[in-house]
Amino acid sequence: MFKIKPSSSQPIYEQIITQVKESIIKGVLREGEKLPSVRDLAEMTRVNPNTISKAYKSLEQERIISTVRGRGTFVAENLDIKTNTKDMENLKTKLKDIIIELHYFGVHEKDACQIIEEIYSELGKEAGHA
Amino acid sequence: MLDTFKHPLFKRELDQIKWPTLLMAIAILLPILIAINSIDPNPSQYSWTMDSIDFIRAPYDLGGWLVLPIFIISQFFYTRKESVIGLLASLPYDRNTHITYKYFAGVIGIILAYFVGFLVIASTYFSAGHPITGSFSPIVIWLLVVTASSLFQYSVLFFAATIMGNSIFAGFGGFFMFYTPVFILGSVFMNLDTFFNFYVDFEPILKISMPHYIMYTGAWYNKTSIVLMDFMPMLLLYFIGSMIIFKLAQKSFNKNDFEYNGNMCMFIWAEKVFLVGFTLCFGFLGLDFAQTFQSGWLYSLAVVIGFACFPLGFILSKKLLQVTGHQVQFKRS
Amino acid sequence: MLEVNQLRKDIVGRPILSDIHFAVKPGCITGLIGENGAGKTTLLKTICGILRPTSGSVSFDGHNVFNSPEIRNEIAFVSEEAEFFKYSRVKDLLNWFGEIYINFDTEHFHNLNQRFQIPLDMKIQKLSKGMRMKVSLMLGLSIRPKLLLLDEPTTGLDPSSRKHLFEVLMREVADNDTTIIISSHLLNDLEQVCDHIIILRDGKITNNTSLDALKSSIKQIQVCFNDYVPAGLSEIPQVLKIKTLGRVAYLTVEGELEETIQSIESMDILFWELIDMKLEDIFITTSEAGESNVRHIQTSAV
Repeated sequence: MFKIKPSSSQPIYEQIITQVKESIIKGVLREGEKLPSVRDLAEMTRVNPNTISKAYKSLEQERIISTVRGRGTFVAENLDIKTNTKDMENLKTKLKDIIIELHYFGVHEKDACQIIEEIYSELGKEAGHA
Repeated sequence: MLDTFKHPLFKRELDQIKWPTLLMAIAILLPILIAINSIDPNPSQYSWTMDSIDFIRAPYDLGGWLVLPIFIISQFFYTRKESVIGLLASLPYDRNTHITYKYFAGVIGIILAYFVGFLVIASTYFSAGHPITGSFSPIVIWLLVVTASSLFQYSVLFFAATIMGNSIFAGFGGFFMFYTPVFILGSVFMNLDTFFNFYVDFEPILKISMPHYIMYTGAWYNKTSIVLMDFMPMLLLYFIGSMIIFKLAQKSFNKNDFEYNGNMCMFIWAEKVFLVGFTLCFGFLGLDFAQTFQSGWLYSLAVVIGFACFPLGFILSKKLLQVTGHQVQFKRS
Repeated sequence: MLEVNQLRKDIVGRPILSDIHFAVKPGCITGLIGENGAGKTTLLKTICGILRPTSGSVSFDGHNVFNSPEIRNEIAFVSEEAEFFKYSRVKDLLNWFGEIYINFDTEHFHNLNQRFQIPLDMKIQKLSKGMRMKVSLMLGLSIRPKLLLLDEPTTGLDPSSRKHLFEVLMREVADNDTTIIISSHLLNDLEQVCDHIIILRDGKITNNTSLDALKSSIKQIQVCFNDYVPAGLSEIPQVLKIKTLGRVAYLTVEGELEETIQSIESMDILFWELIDMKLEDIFITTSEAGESNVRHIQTSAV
């Protein structure tokens, strides 16, 4: 479920956040399903529990997961994938930057859309295999 | 008090002196058994007086003393090993505790070994079929005196082991630490007499060291007995001396820096003393040996070699320090 | 809470450690890295009270470690030097420890041993290096320490045992908030496990930061040029190291990237790309930088 790349320039806690989100999209984790505890995940991945705590806290702030005392950490019910507007704006800006870069590579609208479709189908395939 | 025996450190120390204690008991018993065996079974000959039982004459017991280095080595060998001292030092006990338990374990072992010897003699004394004349008190006095002198000797070696980082050198060289000054003094006076006809009565100095005294004055051959000797002040001296030396050992161990484990000396001042002491000792040994030659050219040659022993001694001591590790800086910059 | 205050340790007159000053919070896993002879083992031994500081002090939870033996009930030192008592058996050692440390948990030892499978009846002398390390680790953890010091704990361990080691450590921190300091050469292992990194060089601390901060302070960029790699690259102030391969230059850059990116983009480039930099690479770079004091090391490979 979780594949951590320790040498990546992306901090480990960010990797965990991204992977939890990916897992939810792929269907590896469903709404209301229980996530591994900080302790278990730390032991399994051999990652510092503080780092995992940090990731879980961040996810909780985004309301993607929630902790119930004494019961554990669960994927939020009725998960609203769309986050608040500010985050949305940031994402749109990032997307715009990528589109501009692609343009300089000679990739224009039609080809760009094709690439996006390919990525979606890839994710879909991965979900199928997960 | 009984709780002390349950203390894990004390238990370990007692465990370490098991075999040395056995060895010591054997070393003490052997001459006793031989002596008892050689008693003439003729009833009129029996006596426990000093003349008939050889081993009781001396106020010290050579057999026991010879085993003391082994005692010290078995107690300090692992303590002076890097890997073990790391573990021991990280335990939740202070250094005082370590060294105190070690000392008292040794004391118990020695007392036990002598007591076994005493029991053998006593049982022989009280067994039927051995009509004996003479009182029992010399035996008790013997037990007290030899045990006390042995404990004193042990304390000296123990102190040496806390100053030196090498248990083997401490065990065998510890004797020298205490008696070398006496030896040097005696040699100085002896040579002053020989070369400059300057005589000083150095017998009182020798009395400081009982074995030296006995050997120089031939008390051994004169069959002077301890019963006739004033043993009470001797006992007191040995007892107080042991306590003082133990306190010194405690202080020394507390000041030990374990990164120097394995070195000949744990302290820089000890290294300097070692260099000087070894040089003088080696030199005087050579010189004194030269005195045994009568006269003539052999004598002159021996004397020259004797004097040469001083620089030789210095070189040797320096080498010893270099081999075992040292803190004193030798290079002249 | 561990506090090392202005620590200095001289051995035979030479300063093995100097100006050592840092603090470690509970639950934090700190990696202590440095070249051989940098003083890592000496530092760990001074922290747990084996060596006496020449000046300065080490205190844990307010108690001076060297002077107060009781606080050593909470500190465990695990190292490969675990020769202990060669002729005893493992279970004798276990019992002995149990009598010494007030918080000792024998059951915990047995739980851990279910994974490590060390026969209790075996004489310590007969154990392999890796097995001795495992015993040392299990004993250390069974003390239930608040501070755990590990000196090259992966020595002699096969990959499977290494995995177990870290699993056990992670569980320990998660359950008990243990403070851990690990010294190791295997920076890949430390990378995912440590919060915090201290780099020791010639007895002095050169870096004392969180792992994330360290990794974001030095990055590697790959730049592909249109024509040739210009000499002007070395002029960029934040570039520590340049490696060239044909038309591609690999730059090791410290600090904020923006200025460097701007300078690069003003040159005739095809593209630039951020490359993953491992802790190992970061460490090697900082050592080289410290060593030769040359900021720009040009190497060309064909």
